[in-house]
Amino acid sequence: MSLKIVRWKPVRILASLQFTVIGLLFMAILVIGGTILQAEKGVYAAQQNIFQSWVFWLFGVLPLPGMLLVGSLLFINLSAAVIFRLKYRRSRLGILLVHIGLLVLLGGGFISSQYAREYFLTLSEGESSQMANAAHEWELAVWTQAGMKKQVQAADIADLRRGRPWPVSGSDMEVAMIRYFSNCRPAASAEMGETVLNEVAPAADPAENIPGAVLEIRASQGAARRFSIFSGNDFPVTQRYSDRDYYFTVRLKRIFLPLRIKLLHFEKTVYPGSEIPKSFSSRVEIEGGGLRREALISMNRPLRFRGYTFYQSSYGEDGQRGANSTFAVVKNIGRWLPYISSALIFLGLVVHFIGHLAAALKKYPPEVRS
Amino acid sequence: MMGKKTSCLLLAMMLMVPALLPAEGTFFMPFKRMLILENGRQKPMDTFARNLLKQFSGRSSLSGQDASSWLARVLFVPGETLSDQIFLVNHPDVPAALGIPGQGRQRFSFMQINSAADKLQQLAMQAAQLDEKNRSAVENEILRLYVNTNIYASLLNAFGFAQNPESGFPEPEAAAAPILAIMPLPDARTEKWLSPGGIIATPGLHPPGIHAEISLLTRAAKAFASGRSQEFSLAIGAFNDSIRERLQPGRANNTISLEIFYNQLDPFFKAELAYGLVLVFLLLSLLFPGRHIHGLSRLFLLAGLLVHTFGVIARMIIMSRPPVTNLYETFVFVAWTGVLLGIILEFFQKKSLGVYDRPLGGIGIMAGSVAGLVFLLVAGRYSLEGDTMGMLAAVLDSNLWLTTHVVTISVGYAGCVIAGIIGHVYIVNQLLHPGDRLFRQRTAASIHAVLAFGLVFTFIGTAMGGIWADQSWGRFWGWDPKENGALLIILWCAILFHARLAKMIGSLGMAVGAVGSIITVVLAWFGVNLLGVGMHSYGFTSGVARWLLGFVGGELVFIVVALLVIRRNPLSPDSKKERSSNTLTKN
Repeated sequence: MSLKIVRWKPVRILASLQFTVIGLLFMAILVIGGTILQAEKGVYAAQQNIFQSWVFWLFGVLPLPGMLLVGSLLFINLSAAVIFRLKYRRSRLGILLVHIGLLVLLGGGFISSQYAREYFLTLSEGESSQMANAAHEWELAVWTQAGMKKQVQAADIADLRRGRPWPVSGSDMEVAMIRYFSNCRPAASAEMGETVLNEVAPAADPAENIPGAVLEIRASQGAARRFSIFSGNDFPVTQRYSDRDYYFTVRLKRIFLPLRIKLLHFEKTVYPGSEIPKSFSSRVEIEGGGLRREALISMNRPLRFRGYTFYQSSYGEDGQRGANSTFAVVKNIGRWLPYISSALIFLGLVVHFIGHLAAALKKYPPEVRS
Repeated sequence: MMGKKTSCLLLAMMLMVPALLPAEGTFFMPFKRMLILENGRQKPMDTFARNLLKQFSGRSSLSGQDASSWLARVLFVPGETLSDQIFLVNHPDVPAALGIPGQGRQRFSFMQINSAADKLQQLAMQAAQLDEKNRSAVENEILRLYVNTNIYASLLNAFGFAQNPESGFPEPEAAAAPILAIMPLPDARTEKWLSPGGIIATPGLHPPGIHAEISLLTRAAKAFASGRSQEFSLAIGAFNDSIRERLQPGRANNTISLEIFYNQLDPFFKAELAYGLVLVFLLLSLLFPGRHIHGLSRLFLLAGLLVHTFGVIARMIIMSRPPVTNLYETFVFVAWTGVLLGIILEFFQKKSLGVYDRPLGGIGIMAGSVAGLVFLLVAGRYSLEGDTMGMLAAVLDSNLWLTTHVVTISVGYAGCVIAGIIGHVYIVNQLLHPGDRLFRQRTAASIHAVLAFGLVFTFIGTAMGGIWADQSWGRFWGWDPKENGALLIILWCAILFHARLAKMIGSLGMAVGAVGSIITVVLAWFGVNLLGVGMHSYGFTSGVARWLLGFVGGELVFIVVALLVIRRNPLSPDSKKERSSNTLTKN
């Protein structure tokens, strides 16, 4: 390409091999660091601090690029190289395909890291549900009860933490979050009815955290009212406001699935004469979009339905109610990108090596070929 | 002159011959072929005996006596085995803690250890209460010893019922030795097996068939005790026939002979020997240059590969599963691929180098035999941890992507390792013969090709692993330590190739980088297992951490010292010129 832009210095640097080498070195260092961190502090800490972060602070003082930043820079570098530097010749077709495949891979990784969601759903045999819980994202739910009618609404804790008050519909009150504890323990109450929360260090596995918050109810009339709430509470916190009871609770974020799923039977088999598990499988009935059928979800054989994928994740054997089965429910719009990129790269490698072989055969008669 | 292929086949046969000759006399065969259900698999008693003896003593034979005849003595003449030195204790603090005499790493008899039985039990209970992470080597050793002596003690009584002088169905004994599950229950659908003692102790399990089997065992036990080997052999044979008749015919039985042959042949040990000899011949050929010794080394490498291949295939048939399913098999398979790569490399190099006139000519042979020898040695060490043919937990079983990705990645590992070994050759050559640039040019080309091979296979394997992970639990990538390890190898190779292309490093840099790729592979392969996290961890191999650190440290020292010497070397006529194009210089 003889365009001017190709020779423009910033573009040359962005597309340069040196840029690639430095980027890959950084990535390698992050991979090593993240793996060691994971061994010490758990997967979640490693994800948050390194693999899913733009910038992280080494020892709290030294800012270093996180994997998202390094990946993005390499993505730019690779795009620039594909556009401006790589040669569009037949002999270089394989290499070009490999690098385009890598672009798709990096892009797909980014999309998955931002948009893939994982939820969990536990069912006892005979039980059915249309809802799944997040693993460790929380929401604030509030409901009122009038006779048999229960009106529930929920707000994402993450939104509340940003400081915007949440207007509770059907009333003129707003809920604001004054303080948030990602992990806390309730202490003995100072006065009756008043819970004091003590913050503790977050657990290695975020699912073990007990989040809590100090909330404030603001209304057009009357003084603002504060109260504490935490997820470990067995009972909702009741607040009376203009002659109605409002029940508040902090719970794992829920989503509605496009289907109702019922666990018919869970089965675990072991190899004879041993405790080594041979297989886990759940026979389920799914109902959605006017369809109703049975399906089998087992290890390595998930169920896919309308963009959601159900995997056999774990199980429990509880004496009275029979077995229960836990499914991981995953939604990932970027799911196909790694497949596309793997195929592109594989194709590129095949083209490249066949090209090499052909060139070698042409160049040397069989006796002197090396 | 005899064709090379023929002589190589003959050599391989010679390595196999000792297994073909029955060492103990054929009367032991029926006992070896006895079926036992252990850890979910029906296996011949021969395998069970070997694993057990290995687990106890770290060896698969006892002073020349093979494992099966040792086990037969334990079962049928228990009193005579009490002073066999079979319990290996790896830590000197253990005998001290038990108050029995002994120092260092040594083997004790049951009698010796039993004299401190109460103490052992008390210490073992203490250790068992500790969290696994907090146990020291001593505590692990005490627990191991406790478990082993208990298994042994239960086996001592396994045939106690046969001592009963009266004929007819024996009375239940206290010790049932559940580990000796050699009798399937009459109802085949339950897939449950019990020991003879267990069968006797369970009421309602005594139909006439079982009755007959128990009396066959009794007869065998009595015959063995009084030295009537013919009768022993016949009784066990009749017992085996009766059991096989009750099982669904055709299943598992076909592979029993193959498995016994595999055990006797010990193919990986034979291959190890062959590869070791190859290295000896290569060293000799440095002293006495000439075609013949080289020819011998090639011959032995091929023979070793044949035996090695037999072992890999036999395991696949016995277990009816792909070649790599556990950590042990990764060692065996990477060794195998390494040898194969070495031979392929040698084939191409022979053409390009015309090597026999110069020392260190057979680089492919050298690299292949080093990789084969080292990884088989590691495999042998690892096999002491227990049965290498265990069944696979649910998530690891029967999935196309799973099995292919492991095999592909292992091939990639082998490529990187071979490239690294050739990297050593390059560096050593530059140290010893700075002027020999032609040789290095060609070596550099090999490094480039083999490393590219390693990169490609590691990449494809990792992508396939991602596909498996996506199919199995909904994510292509999860930053699991093993995934990170594979990614690290890919990144390292990619860095090297791009840096070479950008002229940030030269051929020497590439050679050093290839050595670095061995370090990366070793860390990714079992270094991450030592981290003890993630679903890919196969469990801690004691002592490996120290070896690993030693190896990595040694390689780093080698690289640094070599680079320092090369930079200062005034001998090389073109060292300056080379330095500008060939050394590790960062822009």
